[in-house]
Amino acid sequence: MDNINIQNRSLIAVGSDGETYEFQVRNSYEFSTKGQKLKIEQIEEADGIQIIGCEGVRYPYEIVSVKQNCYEVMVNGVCYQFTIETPFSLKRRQILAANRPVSDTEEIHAPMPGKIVSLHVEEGKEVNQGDPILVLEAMKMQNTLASPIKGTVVAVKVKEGASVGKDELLVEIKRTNG
Amino acid sequence: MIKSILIANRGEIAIRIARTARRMGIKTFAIRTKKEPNAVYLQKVDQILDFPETDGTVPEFLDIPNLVKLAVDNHIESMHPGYGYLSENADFAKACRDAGVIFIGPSPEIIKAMGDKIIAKEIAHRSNVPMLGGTHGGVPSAEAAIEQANSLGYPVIIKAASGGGGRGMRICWNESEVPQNFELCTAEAKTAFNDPTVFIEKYLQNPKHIEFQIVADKFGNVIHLGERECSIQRKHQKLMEEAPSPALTDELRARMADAAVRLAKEAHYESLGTVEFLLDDNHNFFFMEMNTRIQVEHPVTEMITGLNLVELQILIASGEPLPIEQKDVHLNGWAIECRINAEDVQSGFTPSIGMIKNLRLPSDNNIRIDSGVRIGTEITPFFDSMIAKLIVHGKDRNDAINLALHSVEHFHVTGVRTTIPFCKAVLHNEVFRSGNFNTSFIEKDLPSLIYKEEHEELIAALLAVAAYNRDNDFVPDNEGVEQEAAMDPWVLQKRIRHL
Repeated sequence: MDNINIQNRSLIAVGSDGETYEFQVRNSYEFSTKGQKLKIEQIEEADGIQIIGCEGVRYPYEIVSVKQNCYEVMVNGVCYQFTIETPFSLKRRQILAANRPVSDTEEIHAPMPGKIVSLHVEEGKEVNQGDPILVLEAMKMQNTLASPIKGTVVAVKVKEGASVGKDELLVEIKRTNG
Repeated sequence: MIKSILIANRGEIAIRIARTARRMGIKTFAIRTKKEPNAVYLQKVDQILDFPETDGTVPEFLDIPNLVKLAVDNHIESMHPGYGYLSENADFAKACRDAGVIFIGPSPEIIKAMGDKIIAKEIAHRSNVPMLGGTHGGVPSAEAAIEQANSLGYPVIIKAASGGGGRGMRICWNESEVPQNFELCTAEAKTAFNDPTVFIEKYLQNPKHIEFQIVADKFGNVIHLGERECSIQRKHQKLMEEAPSPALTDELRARMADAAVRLAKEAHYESLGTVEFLLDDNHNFFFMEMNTRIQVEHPVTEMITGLNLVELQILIASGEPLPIEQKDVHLNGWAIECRINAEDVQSGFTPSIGMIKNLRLPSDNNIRIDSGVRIGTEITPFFDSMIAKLIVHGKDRNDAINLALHSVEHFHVTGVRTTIPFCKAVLHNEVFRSGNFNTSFIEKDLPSLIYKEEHEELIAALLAVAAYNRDNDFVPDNEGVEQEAAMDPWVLQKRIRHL
């Protein structure tokens, strides 16, 4: 087998913090990473729990969601998000990322359906990263949504007391440069 | 003895109450709501009553007139409020009494007295139970607030008299913060609890939260069933409890228990009750409040005492004398309760909404699971996020921790995210295992909120890669060796057909 062919058979899982795991794919159940062979076994047990076995250890898992090459998986109840790239697509992604200007507005969406209990910002207010934007109540719990960036609030789409759906746009914040 | 009970609650506690009541030969009734018409708790009772059509502004389990009417119309002798909802609502207890329905809990007068923290503190003061100041009643003005705060010494905490559950409280670190916090707290208390009264007490930084279980009958007999350690909390929400507490010596336990019993006697308390204390580093304890309901974490007490708290509660409500005396109460071994909530710990404990796709529960001697869900149950924003309580009983603390750890490792839920990885993180934590922790544990002593096994992340990455490989036919199996062994029989069948 020549070098190019081996290259094509690699897949790289890129985690949400940028960490990478590269695997050589032999077939649907044999892989290797850093020279170590890994043979996996995926079973759905009688009660519907899915198990991945690898090197004698069994882990319960769930494929939570698949969006194109973005995989969200749960292992032992812990969630992990990976984007799967080939060596070529990863390089292309890195080049694109280096050239793309950073988006200057950040949108805050409702992570779950609920009620806006309090609103801490109005249009034009300057916020720092981590400042509370609003408090969303769901399941009798109050969740504070914080600003992900330093910037200026450019739009507030909700009012106090309003009920919002999942993923509904709540607030837009324009990034302050520097 | 009571012959029938209407359970004015849902979920695991409704099941818990029904289990004991039915064993006692009592007819049990549950209430079906439109929000979860197929809930598990409905299968565990003798008869189901549909909640009447309403305009929906008041949630079902908070609707006093309709709940009482259901009991009266169906000739049900008593009402069990469970925890949360109307369990500590004096108006509900009174409405039941006025309608001739036995409320399984204390009298409306006691609920009202204990619900008003200023009155509760007066009772504690009379029974000579230590407190963090604040025995001067409500604070009438910002000036009075400053005066009281200065005499207590900073930091102080301003609390709503009718508050609870961690709401309506503000900490002041110095005099300049007092006036604003006084105004804010008063306003908050008025909107949230319809009572603007606030009081001030000394603020104890990072105390331990320890509560004593009290049982009192209508004849003045009061006993205690030891303490529960509830310091593992986040934003005043308890996440893991144990009994007994590793912080108490026998001597301190006896003093605190005595204080709790004195307070209950002074209040002419009846039914189950919980006296909450804060404990500082120097083993000084202070009365915080008394809860007049059955607590979520009551099973840890049941485990170490071998007593059934719901049974005692029903016996007392039936007018029976306590079947046991203090000398009959023995604390055996160690119990831990893990709350398995549908929450995404990785995103700051936000509720995780969805359907429970699969559920696998651990089972062994000394493991108890109180749960109100099954496969197919929808976790909705209407109700609290608790999926199950896992309770284990070990011979000592170390044994209980190891059993709890083993149990959460074998507790699998898919479809929603749960607090299981958090429970593992706590149970593995050295500070927790040492027993030397307080309410700041999660902030200070827990470096990661979730526990990841070694190689777990690599396995997750491999899983994603394997799924991608399959979904995209990236390396088709027929190019590999040993393909026969790997091929799914269905795929094989399909390929043979297409040859």
